[in-house]
Amino acid sequence: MTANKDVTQLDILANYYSQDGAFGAPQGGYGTELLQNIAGLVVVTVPLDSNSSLGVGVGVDYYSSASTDRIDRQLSTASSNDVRKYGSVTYTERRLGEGRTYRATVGTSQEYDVSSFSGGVGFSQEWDRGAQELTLTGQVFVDQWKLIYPIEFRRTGFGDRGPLPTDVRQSYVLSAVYSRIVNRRVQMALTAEFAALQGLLSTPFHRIYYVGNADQTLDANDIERLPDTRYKIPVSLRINWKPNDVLVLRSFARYYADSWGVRGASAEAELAYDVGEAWTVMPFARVYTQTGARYYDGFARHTAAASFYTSDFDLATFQTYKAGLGVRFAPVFGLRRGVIASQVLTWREVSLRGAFYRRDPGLTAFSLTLGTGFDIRRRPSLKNTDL
Amino acid sequence: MPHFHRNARRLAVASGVVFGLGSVACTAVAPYERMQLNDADMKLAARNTETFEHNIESYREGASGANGGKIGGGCGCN
Repeated sequence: MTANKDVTQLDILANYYSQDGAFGAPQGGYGTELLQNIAGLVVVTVPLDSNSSLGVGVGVDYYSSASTDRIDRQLSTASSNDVRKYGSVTYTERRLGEGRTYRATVGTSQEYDVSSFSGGVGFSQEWDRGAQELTLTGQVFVDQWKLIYPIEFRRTGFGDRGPLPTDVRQSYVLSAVYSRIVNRRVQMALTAEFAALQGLLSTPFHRIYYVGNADQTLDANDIERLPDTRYKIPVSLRINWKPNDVLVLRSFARYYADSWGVRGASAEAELAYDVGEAWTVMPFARVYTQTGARYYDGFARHTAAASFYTSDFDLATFQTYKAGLGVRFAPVFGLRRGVIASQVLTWREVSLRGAFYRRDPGLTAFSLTLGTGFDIRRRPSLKNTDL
Repeated sequence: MPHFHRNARRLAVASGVVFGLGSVACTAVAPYERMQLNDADMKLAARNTETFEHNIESYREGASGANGGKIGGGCGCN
């Protein structure tokens, strides 16, 4: 563990995402999933002194969605697009002599129908001269929903079942990360989390069509109904290996289980290959397989006898595949340097990452991310030197 | 819930085995021998350019968490 450098880091990220699929949940599990999302995120990390720092992240997403546009059945209504604004502040304090790090974070996220607030604390302890480290983190999220039902239920009500009983969701997350150096070229980290969710866990504008009602021009029979608790346990292993001076192999595997019956496993790998002094190319691939929740069934496959049901394909059985390429340009002394208001600004790096994503069955997507970073340090003063 | 508990136990055992084997293979590396480990690409965390992809994956897939991203909160309903 070393003291903070007197450098403020500024990272700016922008993303374009596009998808199209065939199982839109607002239409009862059948129909367009066409969606575009444009996102921006700015992260600033400011050292307060040699031991403590403050991190601030602010982001905004703008999306247009053809499936949420069907909540009112008429196209190009207010539900066709939305803006999500979010931010977080993290305070970090390190006790250098003890090898300890303390963190506290608060955050918020606002969109038209959901307001979310979060807070968390974390603690890290390293030992064996920094070769091993354990990090424990606890987080709480509270989401307040504006319940927006499909148009037919706003007109006629819900019959016997009534509207959803709550509009609040609480999530409690505990995580433990144990990382260690394996040898001079390999290090790894094992992460285990436990999450408990309670309250509103269904989405109020997801339609359900019963068996025998397979005509989407007709009103749905009900809205999605799911239990008010869900427990999740994801476990992951990350191993990074640098076999020589120009190549790094990054690997990541995760297994997931939850109390709704969803089981998921993913494996991904990335090669980071240094091409010359400044350029790095990073091809990557990922596979993921999932068995669905016990409450899932497709369009017009549910019956009124079930207590809980969903036709949200995100909870179905499927596989996904992702592959792409990243490129980074990061010269040793930065792309450019300049002095602004007594601060030396160094344009550290610029990177581009594109990914193709396919869900089998029924969805294809593309993501393009542009990232860049700056270092800001105080301009050296000559007043107190011996020159 | 019984299935959930059984799977949780399997997860714990599998994790212990994987990390136990990894630990046996470990060698002591002094701080001055960590030049390769200090490479920015060796960082044991997702890249910041992966942030948006993790976000999308947590929306489109039933599984989430254990990759540095949040595991609850927000909508994820589009």
